[in-house]
Amino acid sequence: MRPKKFSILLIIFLSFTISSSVFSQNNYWVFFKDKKDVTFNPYQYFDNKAIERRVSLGISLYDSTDFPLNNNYKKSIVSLCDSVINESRWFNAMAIKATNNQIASIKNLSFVEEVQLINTYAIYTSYQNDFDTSVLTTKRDLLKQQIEAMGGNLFIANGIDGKGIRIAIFDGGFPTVDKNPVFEHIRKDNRIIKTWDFTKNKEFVYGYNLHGTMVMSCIGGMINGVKLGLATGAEFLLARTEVNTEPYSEEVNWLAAVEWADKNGADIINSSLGYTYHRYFNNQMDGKTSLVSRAANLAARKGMLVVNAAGNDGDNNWKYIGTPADADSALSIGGIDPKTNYHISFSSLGPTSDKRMKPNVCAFGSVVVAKKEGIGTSQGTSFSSPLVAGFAACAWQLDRTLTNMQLFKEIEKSANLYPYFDYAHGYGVPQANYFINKSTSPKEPTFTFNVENNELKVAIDSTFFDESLLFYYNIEDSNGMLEEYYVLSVNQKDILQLDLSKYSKGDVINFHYNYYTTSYKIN
Amino acid sequence: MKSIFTLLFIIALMQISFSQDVLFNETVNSDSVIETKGPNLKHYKHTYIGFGFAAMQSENKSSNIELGPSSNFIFGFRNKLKISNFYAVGYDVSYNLSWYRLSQTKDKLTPDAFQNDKERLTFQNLEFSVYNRFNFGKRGNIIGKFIDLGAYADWTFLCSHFIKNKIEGNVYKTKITHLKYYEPFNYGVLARFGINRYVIYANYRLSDLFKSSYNYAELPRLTLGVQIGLHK
Repeated sequence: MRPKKFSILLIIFLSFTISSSVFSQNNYWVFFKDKKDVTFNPYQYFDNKAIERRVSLGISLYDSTDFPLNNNYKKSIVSLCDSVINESRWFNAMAIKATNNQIASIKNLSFVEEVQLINTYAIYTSYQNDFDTSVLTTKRDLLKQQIEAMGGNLFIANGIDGKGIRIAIFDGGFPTVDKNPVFEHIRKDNRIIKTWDFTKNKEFVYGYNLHGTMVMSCIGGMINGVKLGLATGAEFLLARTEVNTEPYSEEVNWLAAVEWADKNGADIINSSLGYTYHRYFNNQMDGKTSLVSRAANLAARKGMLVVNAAGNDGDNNWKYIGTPADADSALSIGGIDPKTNYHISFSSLGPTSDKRMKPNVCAFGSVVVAKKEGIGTSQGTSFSSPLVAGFAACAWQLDRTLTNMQLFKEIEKSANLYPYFDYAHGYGVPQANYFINKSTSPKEPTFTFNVENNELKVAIDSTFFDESLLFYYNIEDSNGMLEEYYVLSVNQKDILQLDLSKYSKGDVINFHYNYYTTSYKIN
Repeated sequence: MKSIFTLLFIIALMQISFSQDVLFNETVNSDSVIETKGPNLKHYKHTYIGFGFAAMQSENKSSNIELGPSSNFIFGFRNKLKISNFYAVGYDVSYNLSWYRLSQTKDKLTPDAFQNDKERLTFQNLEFSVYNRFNFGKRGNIIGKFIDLGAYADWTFLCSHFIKNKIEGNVYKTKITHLKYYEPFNYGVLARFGINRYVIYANYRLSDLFKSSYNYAELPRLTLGVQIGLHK
């Protein structure tokens, strides 16, 4: 073959590849400049529970972000694009499918503020599935621990089960939730209030990916009277937002679902999903860049508690939390290993790229969950998040006067390491006794330290020496940012010896052991 | 001597008494620096493997090949320097093993006119290539969709001629090396289309594989194949 023939072949090859890349349809967000001439009746739009939440939290029923999109704008877009995927009242935007030529025409419309290409991919934050056909002894122990680790038995003993709290779950499907015995107590009382499949625009969600079923079980599942999650008395809104085979629309669905949850009176949103490297860079995990993160913050402004898994990238290249776990107002949940009680290797780490502390708290990252028939075990911060969502529902039931952000702070304060924190555990595992008894004990010094010749030595008090506990310490710079953090096993009373010459003036060393936290500032 | 042992014992005891069993630790400053190395960051390098086929027939029947079994294997290292979100440049260094199964026909003249049961020419090359990369679409820290256009140069460090014949029930295999008729250096152009780790490639050899003095018809110039990037 001579160069002439080769040129023809090369042109065919490139035409094929270029046309598939350039001339194919893409998905876009089209943001409008205003909501001119629209009418809005909150009593028609919102569920009663959503109105109750707004009234009790002092939030206006006439927030312009809830107003519908301008119909004329919508019609113009519909006439120019190929199809509409979804729309967002909160962001005054439509998600559409369009070709490059179509999008060029749309950009020229006077009411169009901005056009953004949608290209994302959601990752379920479950790590791996490990389903067994029966609950072995180890699983019974694990099941007991996943509730006890949060002091959940105190909620149970006081009859607190999240009653009256409405929880929205965003996930990839909820197979067998309509017949699985783990959810019988919920179905019996008709506490699945609404369902919606945002990927197919229909009500049925009881199929597809098992992930949502497992997540829901960690919020309010129960089998033979034994709880898998704490909010067995809560109400549920189930939204299917994810499709494995359709990677480009999940973020759009997440946005639609959060508005749907708000409209239908959700108090808590659990999202065990994270968006990471497919669209973003680590330095964009600042809680402001991604649309879902901004939506999570807006949801919080409207009175909902957004609980989001930190992600499972702790042991891979990404390493840090994804979005919307980076949102300032999202309660981001890391995972701990039930066997060791500290960070489970895959749980994504903080801080955010703008150096805010994340995750906020943590829970078991290896749990007992519902499967299609019966129960099994699974791993991931996907399950840490619903465990805390269930916990939050119980805490909120105890004190309905709390706003969502007050509850957020109270959950942080209830955690077993508080006020100590690090970027793997946040403030630790939330504790029910904080809400029941309003106390965490003991608070008296459990260790002492002294400094001699620029050496700091820490010794555990004999009374509190317990080899089953862990000793935590971190080095905090003068800006409050952690430089290093450690977890030590407690195998001797002389637990720590540090050469202070390694650290800078103004650095603070924080120590935590057995509910007692103290600090030493280097001068 | 005794005192040295006593001293060592005391030091060891001190070490034990202050040994810290660190279960978990993170150093934030060094871990939180803005990355410059990654699939869609300034620098990225990764290895890859590839498999391709001769995608056309030889110059004429005297060098005809069997198209299916004439193929090549690549193992390489790719380096990319991102210039903008849509454009990058880079180079590859690779080991390339190509083999051409020669058709045994009456017209055969390359490298000789003898008819054998099976016969192939194998070229083991070290290859260096440079490319321009054009990316499409907004993306995060992934390679995404791209088209590469570039050029390559090969150094054939070993060319072998394999012959296999079955005579009276016995199989005879012959390998001939130190061949004189091939050009040790050749070059060509390349094009690739990829989505993340999956790549379709086309290589077109512009130079001749055989020395002109031997008058052998050229073996196929075009190779099509797939590559898989060994990265996330």
